[in-house]
Amino acid sequence: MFTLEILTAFLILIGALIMLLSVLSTRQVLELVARTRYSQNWRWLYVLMIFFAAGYIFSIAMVASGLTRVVVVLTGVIFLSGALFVFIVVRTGLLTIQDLQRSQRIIGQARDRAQEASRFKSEMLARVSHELMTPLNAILGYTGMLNEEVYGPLSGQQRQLVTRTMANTEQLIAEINELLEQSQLEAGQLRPRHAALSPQVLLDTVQGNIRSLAAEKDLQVFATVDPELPPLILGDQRLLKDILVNLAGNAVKFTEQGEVRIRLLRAGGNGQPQWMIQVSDTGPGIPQALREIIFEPFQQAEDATTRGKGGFGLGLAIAKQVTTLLGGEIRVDSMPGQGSTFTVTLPLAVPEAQENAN
Amino acid sequence: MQTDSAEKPFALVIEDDPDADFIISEALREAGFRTETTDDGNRAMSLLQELRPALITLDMHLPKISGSEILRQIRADPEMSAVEVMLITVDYRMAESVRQQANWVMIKPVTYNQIRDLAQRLATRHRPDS
Repeated sequence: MFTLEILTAFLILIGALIMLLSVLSTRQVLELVARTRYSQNWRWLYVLMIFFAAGYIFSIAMVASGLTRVVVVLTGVIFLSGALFVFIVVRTGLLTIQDLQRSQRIIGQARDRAQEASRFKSEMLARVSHELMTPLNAILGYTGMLNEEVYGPLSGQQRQLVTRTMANTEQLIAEINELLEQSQLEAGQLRPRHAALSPQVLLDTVQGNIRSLAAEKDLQVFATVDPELPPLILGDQRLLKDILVNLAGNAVKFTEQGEVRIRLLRAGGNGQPQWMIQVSDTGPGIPQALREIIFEPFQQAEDATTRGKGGFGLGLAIAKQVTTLLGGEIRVDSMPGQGSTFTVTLPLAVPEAQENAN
Repeated sequence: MQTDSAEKPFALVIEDDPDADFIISEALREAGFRTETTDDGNRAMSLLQELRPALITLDMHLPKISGSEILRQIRADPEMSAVEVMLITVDYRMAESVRQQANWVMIKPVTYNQIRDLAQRLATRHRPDS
């Protein structure tokens, strides 16, 4: 008699359950049911009966209000379809949000771990370097005192040993400094601090650093500052010295005869003002295939002419990273057998006082 | 050194590494200073009052009070404005940040020679008969 009403009530019951499940999880629905005070075995039946009764009353009311039974059943079908649609949309959305949240959490954890590891590595390296540097500085200091004959004259052979000990210690200190600097660059801990500096003084300092090795190899070193370059420019003295010492040091290290030229130049061009550091040598040159690799950390363009030069191969990598940090570019021009020229182009800025004076 | 020890100016070495202290102190004595060493900031401040040194060599990383704090205290005291401060440290970044307050900044490794030569020029200035 009332089969169609029962069918409609049933459709509404299923639809209502689906609606409920689309906004609540199964567990939440169960908790909701558990909060009702009826005996455990009847809980489900009780909820189902409420929904069913509601649906049944609803369809009877619709029929009573003059709608045909087919329309009433159709209402049930539409309600169920709507519920299914809501269920799918809400669930898919929820799942996507949950997935997104989970992915973000995983990425966040991975990033924290990576940062932690990087920080630990830098701290470790800084600590190790400091621990190594303290006794090395002491060795250098003491051998320096012997070399100065503070406590009496040395024989020729003693002097030779002392000089060699000092040279080895200095090399070790330089290499530890390179490692430390590479790690600071990797960790992004080196930040440029610009101040007024004289290009001439910068060049003199660098010359002082390479003078003894160049003299030992009987190389001529020419260092010039372009008169077009302002007497004072803005720059990070320490970082610029790093670039220059690494480029000039490398040039002297790999050149067996001839000369090394270091030039600080004002760069042409109509755009932003620039200046250049240029270091040329008459060394073995760098084959085309190796011109990229030489700027990579811990890589040395190793062939017959360079083998046995030692070091970590960090000099050019540091020069490149520091150049990038200062907003510049580095390039190398080279002809195997005829030497190489490294050119660093940097943005040019002058101290405010000078700018005003001009 | 020809000068009588009583007339020699004092130099205070604030340093926690005994090796660095040995080299610095030897260089300063050779240059004509009497030296005293401490690695403790509070002790350094009382030695400053007591000895009135002409020169201080100052390390940046010290066990109790940092070098930059000691430097700040020295510069804040009008009675000590004349004292010459030579920073001797491995930490060039830290040295840079207080460069303005120091008379000289030396980045380790520094040699006996460098310290002696600089100190010798200072000692001549501070000798009573000069």
